[in-house]
Amino acid sequence: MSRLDDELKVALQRKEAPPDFTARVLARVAELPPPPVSRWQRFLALFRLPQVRFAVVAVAACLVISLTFGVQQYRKYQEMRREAEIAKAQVMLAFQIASAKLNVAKQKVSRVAEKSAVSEAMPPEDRVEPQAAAKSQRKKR
Amino acid sequence: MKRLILPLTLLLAALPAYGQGFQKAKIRIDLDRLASKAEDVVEVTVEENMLRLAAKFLKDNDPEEAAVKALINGLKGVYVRAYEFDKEGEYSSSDVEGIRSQLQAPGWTKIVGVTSRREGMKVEVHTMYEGEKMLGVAIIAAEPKELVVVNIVGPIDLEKLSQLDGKLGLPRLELRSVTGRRAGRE
Amino acid sequence: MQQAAHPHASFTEIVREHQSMVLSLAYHFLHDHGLAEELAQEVFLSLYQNLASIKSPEHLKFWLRKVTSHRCIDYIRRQKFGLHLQMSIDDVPEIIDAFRVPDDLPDPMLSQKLRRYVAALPEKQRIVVVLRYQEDLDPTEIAEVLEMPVNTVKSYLQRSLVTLREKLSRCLGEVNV
Repeated sequence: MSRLDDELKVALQRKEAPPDFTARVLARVAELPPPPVSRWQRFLALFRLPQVRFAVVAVAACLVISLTFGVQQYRKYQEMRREAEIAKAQVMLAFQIASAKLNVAKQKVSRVAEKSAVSEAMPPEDRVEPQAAAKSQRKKR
Repeated sequence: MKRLILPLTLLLAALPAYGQGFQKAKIRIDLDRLASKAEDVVEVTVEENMLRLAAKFLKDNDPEEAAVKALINGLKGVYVRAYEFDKEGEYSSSDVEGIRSQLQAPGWTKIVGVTSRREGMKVEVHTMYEGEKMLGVAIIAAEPKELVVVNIVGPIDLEKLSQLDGKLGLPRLELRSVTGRRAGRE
Repeated sequence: MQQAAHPHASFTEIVREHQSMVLSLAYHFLHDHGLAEELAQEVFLSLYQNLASIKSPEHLKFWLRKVTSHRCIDYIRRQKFGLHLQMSIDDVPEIIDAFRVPDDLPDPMLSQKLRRYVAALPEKQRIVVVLRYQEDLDPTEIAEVLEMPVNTVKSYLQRSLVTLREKLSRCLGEVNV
């Protein structure tokens, strides 16, 4: 290395900073405006608070419980609905059968009532008493 | 509060009796032995809780379902046993006697009895009343190849019931097995 | 960069450790104590705001040298200085001592003269010389700090030394440097 190099090293060697330089730097740091915080960072910062964390855990637990309960309730409802549909079909069938048989009885009763009405409408001499009618039928045989 | 204790006690004591009143209209239908001989079997047993559940799912905007819903109101039970045979003589009068004898008990009144010897058919409709209150209905329809017993416990409008025939999406006078059971094939 | 329990205390330590380097870089470039301190403060403020990006102590040193160097160059380009800084090295008169020091004795004024001549070099040559001789960086390291090709750094260094020798020789007569 040449002498110039040595001289340059001596000339350009580091100098001590003034004793209060650090204090002046820190004073300017203190004056700095707070760094801008995005909405997302502010939102995330909330989760550092123990109260918020507790609330989040509590809400998550409630959601899990509600979801589980909701699923169970839905399944129960589905089961109930299925049973109800079966019962509905059975009742409708039962009523249909009962109704049909009632109508058979009604029709028969109506027919007998009609016959009686026709018989009563005939002149007395043409009316056949049940017993006389039975006798004449035996004679014919 | 003290004045209410006696009436409340009497009311609570009467509640089972209220239920027991309707239970008098429930008949025992022991015809299971006929199921193995029958070609088609219909067995319906719907208790009060299922009737209420069914009523919840009957649509008000459907005329037939609305009519059924109105009939269900107040019922305690609906029981049907219907058997269709492929030949005559598969059941006897003694099979039906067990049921008829129950309908001879006090309280039951036969309101309709139709017998057709030509057709070999006999239909009976029995009702039970307690004062003005209807407790139940029993229908026995016996034909050479078919036997039907219906027991409805609770108040029911027979006229409106008879009007349902053919309107519930089922063909008239045709038995359909709800359970899909075929006699002799199980 | 691992932070102490109190980041502010850690930053204070960083300032104390590196203030000499930053201040000296700025002073040897600007040749003005006031301007040098102002620039050095701004470098440390910038460091405070970018502390999270510092990965290691070596990275910190590199970062400080780089930011200080670039700010010095930018400062010269943007600001209007006193007449003596606007002068090119050719305009800087050789300091002729009234009292000549004998050749075999070291010149106590040599350092001061060298500092003035260095401060009058073109800014890019100047910063290359300062980084070379103050920080003892080799041309490759200087090239990384200044983000310029190594050959450019070597070229600047060579030209600077030639210029400085010529200035010194005129001032001192013939000086073997």
